[in-house]
Order: sequence, then structure tokens, then C-alpha cells
Amino acid sequence: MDKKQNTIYHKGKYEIWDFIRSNSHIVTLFSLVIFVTIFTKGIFIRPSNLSSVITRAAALGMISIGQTLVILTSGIDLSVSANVGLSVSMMALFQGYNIGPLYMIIVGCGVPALVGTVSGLLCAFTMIPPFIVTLGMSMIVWTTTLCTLSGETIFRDVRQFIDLNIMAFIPLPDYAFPAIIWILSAILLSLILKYSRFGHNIYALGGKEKAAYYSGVNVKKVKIFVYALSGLTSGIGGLLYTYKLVGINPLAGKGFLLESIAATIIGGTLLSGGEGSVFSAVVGTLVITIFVNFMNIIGMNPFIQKIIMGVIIITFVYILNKIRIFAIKKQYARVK
Amino acid sequence: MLNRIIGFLKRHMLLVVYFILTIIIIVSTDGFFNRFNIASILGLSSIMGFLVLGEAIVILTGGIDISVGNIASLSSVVCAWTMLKFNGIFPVAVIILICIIFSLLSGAFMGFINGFSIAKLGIPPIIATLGVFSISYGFAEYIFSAEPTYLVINSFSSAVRTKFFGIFPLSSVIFVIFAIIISLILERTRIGRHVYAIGGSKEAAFLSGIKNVKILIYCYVSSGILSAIGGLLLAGWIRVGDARAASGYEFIAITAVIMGGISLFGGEGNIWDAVLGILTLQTIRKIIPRMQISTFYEEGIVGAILLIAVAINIMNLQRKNIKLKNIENE
Repeated sequence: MDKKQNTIYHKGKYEIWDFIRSNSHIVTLFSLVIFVTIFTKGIFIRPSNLSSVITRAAALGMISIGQTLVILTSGIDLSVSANVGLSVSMMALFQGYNIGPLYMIIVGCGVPALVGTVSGLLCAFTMIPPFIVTLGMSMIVWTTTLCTLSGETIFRDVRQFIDLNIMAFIPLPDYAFPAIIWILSAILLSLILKYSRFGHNIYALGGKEKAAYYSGVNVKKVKIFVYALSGLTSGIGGLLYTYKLVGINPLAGKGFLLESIAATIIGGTLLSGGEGSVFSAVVGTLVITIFVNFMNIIGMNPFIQKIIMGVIIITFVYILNKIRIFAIKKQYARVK
Repeated sequence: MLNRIIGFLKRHMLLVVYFILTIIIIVSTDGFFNRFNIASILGLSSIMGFLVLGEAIVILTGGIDISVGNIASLSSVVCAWTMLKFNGIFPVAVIILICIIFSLLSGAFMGFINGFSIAKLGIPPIIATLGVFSISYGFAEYIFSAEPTYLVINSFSSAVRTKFFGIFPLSSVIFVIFAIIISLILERTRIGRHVYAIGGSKEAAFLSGIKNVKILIYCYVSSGILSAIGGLLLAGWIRVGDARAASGYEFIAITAVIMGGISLFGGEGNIWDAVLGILTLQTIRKIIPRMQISTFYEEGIVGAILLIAVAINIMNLQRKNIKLKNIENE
């Protein structure tokens, strides 16, 4: 729909602006990659570094896909990092019972999905704003996590899903496993968003909830599904997060919340909902991970990295808003 | 007369809840409310009370501030840093003065970033304060590389810990003064009325000539300053400046504000109810270890209380809306 309008009112003058507006995340990614490669004198594109970037990006990317879906419905999920911790601690809990890799995966992804469903139900059937619901849920979930592991770092190998040996069937190096899962689910979810009724309903809900309700969208069902999906993706994110770790501290996943929101925003998804895509979340994740990797390569103080992360979030929201408002103004001018 | 009392209690349900809670505690435990426990509850709840005041002002404008806890930690770290830096150079009283000024400036600065990005740049409050959450945490960790640091000057912490009549710590006295001032400002002055107006409807406030941007920035800056005062007193109370001293307090502050019946959508509520909210919450938190429940459950219990409080809050709002509609129909 958007593209059609552009072609109708095109006069050539604002082409670059339109391109930047609709592809701001891709522009950012490419310029960042070039900048980082030059600045680190090529350390960045070494295979060993790239592999670590990709493994790191997969867990975050999985989580930010769920976050994007929630933000598309003009909500926000503050419980993602708690869900990652829950997934890890549940796997650690059930690891003692020797239930086999498949059930392990079901536990690791299913329990966070259950939590997501509960917050979806709360969002749908009460009028409590989403950020309060997910805040409360995250506090409850952290408690559960702390109680399961007594607040300690555990040195157990919970990665029983490696026993399934999926990588034997795929002609790719071992570290690509999280990335494959990530990309596959991103493709699946973006297909759902684009071609299924559920996907269209998500966009409708984000555009205007009342309008969606009056045009026959089952608002409650969509909300429940979206939050459940977010829980599920953060569960899978927890699974991928443990892929490289042997000692696990669930509290270490606390940074995922800020980073997943940042990835979603940098991808160009509007916080007010209704505009954005899963693909943009993938690009946003890559941008965030590459930037963090860059800061690590040049040896920046980790505490200053946190400051920079906060600044990035605020400035990006501002810049994207500005670009959007500018483009809309130009479009109106052209229509007149 | 009876009607008026019932009406008052209906408006301030929390008073009844706290009364019942107190009776249950007194009956079920022997001597929970002794001198030390009361002093501890008053001390900590007044320290958190400063965060609650800041949070309440922000929520009254219809926003939310999740950076208050980290701003308080930052101010405690700044306090420790200033003491370490100026120790021996100036007399003690001057150092404490410099300390207070620096801490308040750090809080005001963080609050200004919040207010500027929300009011001027138009960023949603959750995202902007989440950004500042990260920024202030980074600063606080950077100063001492995330290590807790003792306050060098002992007289500061002993001053904060002085108790009047054995049960009223200095922090609670300061807190009551601040709460009175703020409630007077909110209810008696023009700026206070403007805060409520913005909370009711930003558009309407703007159209009736209120300078939204200015008022919003004032609100967030004062929230930052109040949390900085809380952080200073906390540093004095535990004798340590720590980047994680007050992390997680923002959730407690939000819960207390909403328990107090201040509407989450802004424009409605009373500061004193929020104060009662933090008192109730702190009593509950204090009781948890007493009932031999693991303190791990504490956060979850607070979260559950938060959800229940918001649900009640919203139910009240809906009932009021229905009443308004009925009046309109008549």
C-alpha cells in the first residue's frame, strides 16, 4: 500500500529521502559495517570474530522478533529478559531428571510461553496497560528464577538439545546452529505477518485498536497470541543463549531487555505500533550486536557502553520520528 | 457526620487496609512493632518515600519514570566519590554541603535528560526513562568500577541515623517536611494545578494556555532531584555508595504510588495516599522474613501487589466513568 502511494506521487525530487525513510535500518547497517571494518583495521571481518557476532546476535535476534510483534500491536514486553532467565533456570531444574533432549526443549520454550500467555490474558481481559502487566509478570518470574536456582550461578551443562545432532544434516559449521534457528523463525514469522489473517490483524491492532475492534478483528485473541509468541521466542532465545555457555547465571540475561527494545527501534518499528516488520528487527539486532562488538574490539569501558546504549536509544527514537514526520510532510505537499 | 467518615474511608481505602494489616500483625506476632522495627520501617520507607514522591509527580502528569532507582544509586555513588575526593581538604561541614550539592546536581541532570527527551523531543516516557535508566547506571558503575565504596566521613551517616525519641530517624523528619511542601505546591499553587491539568489531558492543557513543555521538564527534574535526595539518605543509612544500592526501587515506588490510588493515566490522586502506600509496602516487606518466607519471594510478592493494585485502580476508574455516563443520561 505504502509503495503504491510512493509511485503515484513520485516526482523524482525526494527519491533519496524516500529511500532513506523506508530503508533507514539497512542504510544504518551498511554504513556501520563499513565504518567498523575501517576503524578496527579489518579485525571485525575475521571469521573468528564474525562467528562470535552471529552466535551472539542469534539469541538477541530471537528475543527481539517477539518484542517487535508486541510493539507492532502498540504494546511493550518488559518481561523478555525475565523469560530468558526462566527458560534457562527451568532447563537447569529439569536437567536433573534426565528427561531427554526433546522434553528439555519443550520445557525451556513452553514455560516462558505459558508466562507470555498469562500476560496476554491479563492484557486482553483487563484494561491494565501492557507495560505494567509485563513489569509485574517480570517481577514474579524473577522470583521464580531466583527460587529455582537459589540465586546462584550453576555449572551444569543444560545443552541437551545438542544431542539431537541437528547439525549433522546441515553442511554448515557448528556455530551456525543458533543463526539457522533464528533466520528460519524470522522467515516463518515474516511470512505469517505478511500473508496470514493473523498477521494483518496484528497490524490493524497497532494502527488503531478501536477501529480494529469495530471492523471485526478478535482483539483479545490477537493480544493473547502475540504475548504468548513473545514468551515463546524469548524461551527459544534462552535456549540459544546457553548454546555457548556451560556455567549459567540466569541474571546475566538482564541486558536483553534494553537491547531487544533498542534493536526493535533501530529496525524502524514505530513505538506507537502498526508500522515495522520482522525483517527490520533482524537488521536492528545485527546493528546492535555489531556496535557492541565494535566497542569491545576497541576496548571501551563496559560501563561507558551502558551509557552509550542509553543515548543511542533516545537519539534513535528521535531521529526516526523526525525522518518520518519530514517524509509525511513532503508527501502531503506533493499530494496538494 | 457518619456519611462523611464513610466517604473519607471510601476515598482512602488504603487507610483501612493498613489498619487491618497492623491489627493482624499485632495479633499474630508477639512484639513485631517494637522500637527497632518501627524505626527501621520509618527509616527505609522515608528513603524510598523520596522516590515515591518523584514517581508520584511524574505519574500525575500521565507519564512514568523507571529511572528513579538508578538515579538514587548514582547520587549515592556521587556522594561517596565527593567525600573521597575532598576529604581532608575542607572542613567536614563544607564537604557534606558540597556532597549534597553534587548529588542533587547529578539527579537534576538525569531528570533534565528525561524531561527534555519526553517533553521537547516527544519520546514516549517508558523508552526515554529506560534510556536514562541505562545511562545513570553506566555513570554510577563507571565512577568506582562498580565497587561499593564506604563513605569516608562518618559524621554524615551518623547524622542520618540519628533517631528522635528513639523511633523517628532524621530521614523520616526530612521526608515529612518535603511531603508537606510538595503537597502544598501540588494543591495550592498554579504550577501544581497545571500538573494535574496536564495529567488530565495534554491537549486540553495546551489549548488552555499551559506551557506543557516547561511544566513537564519541571516535573521530571524534580523527580530526579527527589530521587537524588533519597539516594543521599540511603548512602548515609547503609554507609556505602553503591551502583546497585537502589536498583529495583523503581518498581517499589511505582507499586506504592498505584497502591495509593493515584491514577496510572494521570491527573488524579493525592500525594499522602502514595506516602501511605510506601508505608504499607515497607511493612509488608519487613514482615516477609519474619514469617519465615525466603526473601527471594519478596520481589514476586511486590509484583503481585502491583498487578492487583492496578486492577483495582482501573476498576474504580471504570465505575466512575459509568457513573458519569449515568449522570449525563439523566
